[in-house]
Amino acid sequence: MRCKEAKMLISNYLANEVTTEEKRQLEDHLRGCEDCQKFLSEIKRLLDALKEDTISLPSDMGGLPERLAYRLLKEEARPKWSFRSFVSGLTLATAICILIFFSFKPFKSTRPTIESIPQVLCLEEGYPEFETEDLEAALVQGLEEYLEIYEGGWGYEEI
Amino acid sequence: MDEDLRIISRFRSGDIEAFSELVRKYQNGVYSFILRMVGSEADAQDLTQQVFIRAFKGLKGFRGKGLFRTWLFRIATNVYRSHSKNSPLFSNSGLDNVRQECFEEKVILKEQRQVLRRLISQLPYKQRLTLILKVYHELTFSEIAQVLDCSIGTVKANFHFALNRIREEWPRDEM
Amino acid sequence: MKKFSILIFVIAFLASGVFAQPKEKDFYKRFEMIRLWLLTDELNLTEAQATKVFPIIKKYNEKKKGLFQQRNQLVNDFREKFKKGKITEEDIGQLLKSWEEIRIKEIRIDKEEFKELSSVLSKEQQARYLLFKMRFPHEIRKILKQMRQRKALKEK
Repeated sequence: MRCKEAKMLISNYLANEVTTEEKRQLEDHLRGCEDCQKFLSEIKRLLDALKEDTISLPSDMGGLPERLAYRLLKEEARPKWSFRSFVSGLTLATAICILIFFSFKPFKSTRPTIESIPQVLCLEEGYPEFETEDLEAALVQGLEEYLEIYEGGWGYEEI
Repeated sequence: MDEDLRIISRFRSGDIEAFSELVRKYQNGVYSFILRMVGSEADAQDLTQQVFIRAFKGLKGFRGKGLFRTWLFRIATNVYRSHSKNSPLFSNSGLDNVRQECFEEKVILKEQRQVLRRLISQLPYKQRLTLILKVYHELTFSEIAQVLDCSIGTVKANFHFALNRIREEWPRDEM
Repeated sequence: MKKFSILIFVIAFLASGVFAQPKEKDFYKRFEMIRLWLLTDELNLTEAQATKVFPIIKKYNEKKKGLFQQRNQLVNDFREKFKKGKITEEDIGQLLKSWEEIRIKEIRIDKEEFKELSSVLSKEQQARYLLFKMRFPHEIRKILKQMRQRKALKEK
């Protein structure tokens, strides 16, 4: 093995990503080559120095799962069509006219809509707890059982 | 069955809070990866959330052929790429918050870290990515090849070139 | 030898849990997301508030769920006895007593929950939360009604 090849392999060797044969050849070469030994030693010290540099999550990122849930829930509540995206395609003058017109009408609402429920509940991921392949049937069944827990015992059953 | 696949299977069975377990397991890794790539803490926080949101929404597309970790880092790489198209070059400012014990050691280590981080930030994109994923996240070359969508040979070469380049620029008295 | 390997295979197959008890259908956690979703909007929660509020609400929901199930069981048992004409005065007294005990526990849980939330929510948000709690089953019924209407329209 020549020095050029050996040096190419040294990084992989230190990362434990060489084949048994490559390892054997490299170790053979290193035994007789001071220059490559020095190279290996420098790369090893570099790797050690790099590894010492650790980063951890800042404290104000605590509760990441809750932040994600919040963002997802907020996204689902927003209507898919937005005034902003509509306006960006128009000229400024037209945009101003429409802005004036629409400012008199409350057209944008963040109130949760029923269409978003499957996404909020991740029902698209599958719903084996309901023994039905119909999305809406699963939703209705789930809501009924959920309501039953809250109001339960009082139900709709007539005596 | 792989631990992550077990969690995903529970998620698909209705336990949507199982996803939180995946978040807690990988949040540090994703955040530190993104931070090393973008340099700004504020950007890294926002992009980390984006990564997990994309992962959550795309989870039904995850077939379990490769590791979940590889798939997640691929998403992180894509999120980084979308972000870097629209934003200024890497800034080192966010990487300065380091906690240590001894003051002297603090100063020396901090300087050393800053030098190394600057050198990493100057690497070409694929070399930088390969180095970070290998050294800090211990992905195998095979996984890195999947993340970068290239051959293992390319990954090996990039790793070597990255280390060699830093070695050449690193101040001699540090060695 | 062949019998032995078949035996090993069968044991492994059984141990894999294929014939294990079916998992309890846990849809409750999933549907609690609706509650969080409506609440996020109703209280106009910020992201920072959500990180503190969500775990608190989830914790107390779990506690309440246990009580709801107890209450439902009691009422169902009572109803069954009533249908069979077997209710005694003692049963009525017992139901009232158990009912009272459960209500006391529920109120205690509500108070604990509010104590924890008061450090995170504004007074207005706390008030909205109280009103939301009262209204919540009604909100679910509204959603159910809409879902059933949509279903009926589709089937036409």
